[in-house]
Amino acid sequence: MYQQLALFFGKVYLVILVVNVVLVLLFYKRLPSKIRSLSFFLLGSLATDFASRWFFYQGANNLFLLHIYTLWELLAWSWFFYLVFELTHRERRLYFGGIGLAGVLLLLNSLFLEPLTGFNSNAKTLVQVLLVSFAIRYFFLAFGKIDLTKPVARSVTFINFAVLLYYSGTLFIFMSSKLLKDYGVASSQQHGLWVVNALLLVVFHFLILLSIWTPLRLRPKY
Amino acid sequence: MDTASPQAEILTVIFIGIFLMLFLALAFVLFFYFSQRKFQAQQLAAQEQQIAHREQLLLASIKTQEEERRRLARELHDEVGSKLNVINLGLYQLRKLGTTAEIQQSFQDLLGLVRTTTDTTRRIAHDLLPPTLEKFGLSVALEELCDQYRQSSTVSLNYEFSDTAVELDSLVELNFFRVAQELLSNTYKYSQASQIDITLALKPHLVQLTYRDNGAGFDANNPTQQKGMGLQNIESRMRTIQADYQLDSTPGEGMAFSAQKTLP
Repeated sequence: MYQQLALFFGKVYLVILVVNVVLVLLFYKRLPSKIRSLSFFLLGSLATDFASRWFFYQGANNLFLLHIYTLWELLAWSWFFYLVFELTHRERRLYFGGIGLAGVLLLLNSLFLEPLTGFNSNAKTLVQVLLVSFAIRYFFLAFGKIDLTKPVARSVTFINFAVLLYYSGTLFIFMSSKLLKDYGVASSQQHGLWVVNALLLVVFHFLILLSIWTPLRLRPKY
Repeated sequence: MDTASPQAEILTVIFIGIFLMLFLALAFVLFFYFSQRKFQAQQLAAQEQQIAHREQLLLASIKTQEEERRRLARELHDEVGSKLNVINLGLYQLRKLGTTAEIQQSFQDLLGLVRTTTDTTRRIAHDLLPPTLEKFGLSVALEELCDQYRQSSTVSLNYEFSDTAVELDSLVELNFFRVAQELLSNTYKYSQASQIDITLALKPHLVQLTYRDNGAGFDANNPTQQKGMGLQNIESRMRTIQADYQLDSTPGEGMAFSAQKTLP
């Protein structure tokens, strides 16, 4: 039953992701730059999803895609948060230095610690912790300074809700995926975890859909 | 005794971790959302209070201005005007005693000066508070105002009124008059209009004023465009007498103003 639920939520998530990609591409010029920057992440997610399904049906190992996707995820979200944070010159250098270092760590992890044929728990955990801390930083910076009736502020807040909920909710799933293998937990016993992941993905992409739709709907008419 | 397998134990720990993290994240999101909304509502209330306070100040300043105008007009008319008349009479008396042509000429010059000063005083007093408004009412005062503008420019000014001998409250009359004065002044100063149409309708339970010009206009719907002091005064005056009003304008298409006050 868990497997069927995971598959169902996986399909729902894919539909929302496709809608998000179509909306971003269709209304690319009408979207504010901060929301537009999501297109990197969304296109990467869709391409990875299709590729992983294709490899799965071919009966081939598709876990190497997770390694590539994790790096892509880090870079795409870093670009989004860079636009959101409006950093000073010094902060910008620190920020990009930190992201560069995290990227190098991810590559080193894939080369020496966690092979491309297995889960990249370390890399995923690092990226998720970084993204959760970025979202929390946004909320601390934004409190009392944003107007939630304004479309861009509302959209950016929705995206941060999505990042905070999804990445903190699934942190334990990815963090422990290698551990579960080491403890010999059968994949059939892990379905419950993937149901949670798929359900959170649905919530995540639904919030992103709202964030894309809000500036389109509330766009001032001239 | 049942003992859970290490696999089941580890899965339980992971699930507890997931739900704990989710709970914390959700609590954080909800706390942020509701606190932000509360904060915004407080900010809005403070802003509204500030606006109300500013409006009260503006109303008070309009009221003081009117009282001061009334007092000045009365002082000029009763004190300065009557004393100038006395001086005029005195000069006439003295002129009879003048023996030489030079003295007669000086008296003539002085009498001319007194006459000009009397006229200027009367005009200032009239501008401050038109006596026509108090004596003959709003429709005639507006007619007089339009005549003054017609004499000083080439703009085609069309004024129509229908008056059913309604007794209007002096405050209502004065504020409608001042609004028309302000609108005309704005049109002449800024709009480069060639045509102005004013209509006043005094019905038993309603006063209606419409004003239209074909000048440069402005973007009345642009919230970022700050209202000038003149427009703010118009709005405050209309609110003072609890009249309904509407101002429409588009750049290049002139402006239209209409106001109506229901009478008891």
